[in-house]
Amino acid sequence: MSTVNEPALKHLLRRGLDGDAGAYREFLSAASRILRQFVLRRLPPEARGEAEDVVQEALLAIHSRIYTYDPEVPVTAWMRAIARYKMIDMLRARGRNQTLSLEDVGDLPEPTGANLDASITLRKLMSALPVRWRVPLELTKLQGHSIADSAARIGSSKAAVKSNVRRGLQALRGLLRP
Amino acid sequence: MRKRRTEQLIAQLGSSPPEYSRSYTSVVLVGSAVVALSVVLLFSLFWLGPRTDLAEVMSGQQPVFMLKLLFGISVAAGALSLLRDLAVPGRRVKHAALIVTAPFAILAVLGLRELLSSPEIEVHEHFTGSHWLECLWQAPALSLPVLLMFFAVMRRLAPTDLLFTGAAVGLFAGGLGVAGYALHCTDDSFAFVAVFYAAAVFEMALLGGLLGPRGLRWA
Repeated sequence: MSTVNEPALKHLLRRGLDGDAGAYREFLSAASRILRQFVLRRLPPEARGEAEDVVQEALLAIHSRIYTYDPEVPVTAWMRAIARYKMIDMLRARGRNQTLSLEDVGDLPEPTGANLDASITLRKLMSALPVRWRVPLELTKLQGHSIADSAARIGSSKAAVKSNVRRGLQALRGLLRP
Repeated sequence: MRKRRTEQLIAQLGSSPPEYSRSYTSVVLVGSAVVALSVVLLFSLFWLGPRTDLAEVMSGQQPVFMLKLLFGISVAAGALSLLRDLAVPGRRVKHAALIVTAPFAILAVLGLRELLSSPEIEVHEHFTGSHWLECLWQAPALSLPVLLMFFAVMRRLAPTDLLFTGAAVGLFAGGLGVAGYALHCTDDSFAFVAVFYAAAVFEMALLGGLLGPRGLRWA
């Protein structure tokens, strides 16, 4: 869909920056099409769901940092570089937030000896917790699901899951203390 | 649905085209550089204190003093033009990278020539008894405020290669730092400058490169 070529895009931007709101909107719309295509082609398959977010971030940056636009640089190269930066930023943040799922980890060693005791104690203690704390705790800490994932499973919000996990941990700590 | 939100965003942003000035990036960088230079001068004169014969050597009869100043200023100037390239997404770094390396190359040649032409006994006199340790921490100390300031400045622009940009900020700060340190430093040998001034600048470039990926993120 890159029917808009560089000179046409440059022309739209120039008119937009001279105060023609219609031209500016047309420029943004053409930019969004170019960037969507650019981002979709580069994101790894498992991250394609975030493509539209990257496009929006890039559009916002184009708008708020328009002063870094340099007429010597092709407009398309400029906006692609911005989208690329936003894409990398998103992938990094994703990498940080992602928790490993059990499938990724493979078979965990069976608990033995002291570990086994600890594992039994932990489960016993956890069964004493109210359901609203225990379930989020099990999902996130024992089964290794992400907060978002667990929230979706329980059908509650991420904030609720987070705070219930925290309360559950606090209660556990209270139970462990003699 | 997400695509519809993009349409809404375009409608919202499109209703008010932003102000644009072509020279904004250059003006911001040069303006900040002037402020940075004054900060370094102030710190150098009031914290380190000028060398006692400053007026004398300033009159131009001391080639090593002139070289120190010239080295620091030209590294900073080259790094500033590098930053100008790096602040603009999609802009290629052209000659700026070469301009930055030139002062180091010239300095290395001058230093080596001096060492090779002096008798062996004199060689280590270029270093022992010198204030090399002071040079290695006081020059970077002068650079540090500049580094912090330019991290803030670059975050307002749009660097996309944060590691390289961090290193360039470090070079700029380091260049100004050694120029400021030159007003205080009394080790007047080409070899000394070639080793320790260059090392002080490298320290800052390394620091900038290390901090860049985290410190330069912009949203």
